[in-house]
Amino acid sequence: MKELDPLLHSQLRLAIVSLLLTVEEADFVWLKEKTEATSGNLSVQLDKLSEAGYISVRKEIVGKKPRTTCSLTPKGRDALNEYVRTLKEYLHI
Amino acid sequence: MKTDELTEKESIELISRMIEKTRNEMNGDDFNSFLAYGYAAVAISIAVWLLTHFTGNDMWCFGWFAMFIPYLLSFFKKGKPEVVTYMDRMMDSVWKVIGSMFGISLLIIVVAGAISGIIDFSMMMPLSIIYAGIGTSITGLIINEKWFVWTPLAGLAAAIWMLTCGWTGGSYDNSWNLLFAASFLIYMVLPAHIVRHKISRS
Repeated sequence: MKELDPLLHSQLRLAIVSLLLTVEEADFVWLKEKTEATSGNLSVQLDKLSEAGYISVRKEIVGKKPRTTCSLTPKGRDALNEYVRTLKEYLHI
Repeated sequence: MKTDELTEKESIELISRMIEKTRNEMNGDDFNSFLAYGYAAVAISIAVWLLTHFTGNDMWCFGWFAMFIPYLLSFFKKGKPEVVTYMDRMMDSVWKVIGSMFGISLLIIVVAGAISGIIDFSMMMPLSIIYAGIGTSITGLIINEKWFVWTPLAGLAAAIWMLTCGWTGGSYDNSWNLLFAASFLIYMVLPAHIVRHKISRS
């Protein structure tokens, strides 16, 4: 049986990608609130997903505050679809 | 939330839970912009009607340029939203197109008027009702809200009335302001309040 994508098979990273699946883009504060993760941990996981090309991260200054906005890339969407397909095989759904 | 690995069942549950959380965001629009533009249109049209009625001076119709005030004020509202859904993006795009239609219409009226020597903005009134009505109907289709979808038909009737008057030799009449006010009240203000009430109840 096919192995689950190790990058997605982690609680916080899977939560991030699932949240981004149904929105066009979301900022760091919103993701932090929804995942209830710490800023440091969330930041590290966003970097990992970004390095893999699963999400795109845009950093900008809005007003005088820095703002980080994330969105799911087509590669990330495909990876999540594949992950769910593999999960279904495991669970015989 | 941690980075711990999950069982397959937990993974499915987590994905479902996160998607459920984002669903709440999709009902987050407060329709304040509908109320701002709707009430502004109603207030300005009644003010223009009153001023024209009591002074007999048609120049008060230039008061319509005050409709740019809600647009200008929107630049001062609080920063970008934390999350942008596909629905938000779609509605934003629809209203950008509608805004462009207003802009192009104004430009053509000014250019054509400059060439002919008569700049007549009265056509903007029925056109505005039609454009804003189209935007409201499409918004209603996107959010699946029948009050937004169907009430612009009342505005369309008023707009066709105005256009027919123009084609049959009539011209801008002060009563058009009241028709305009009624149209925006029916298809912008009323539905926005109804939908806000529905959201607050749910």
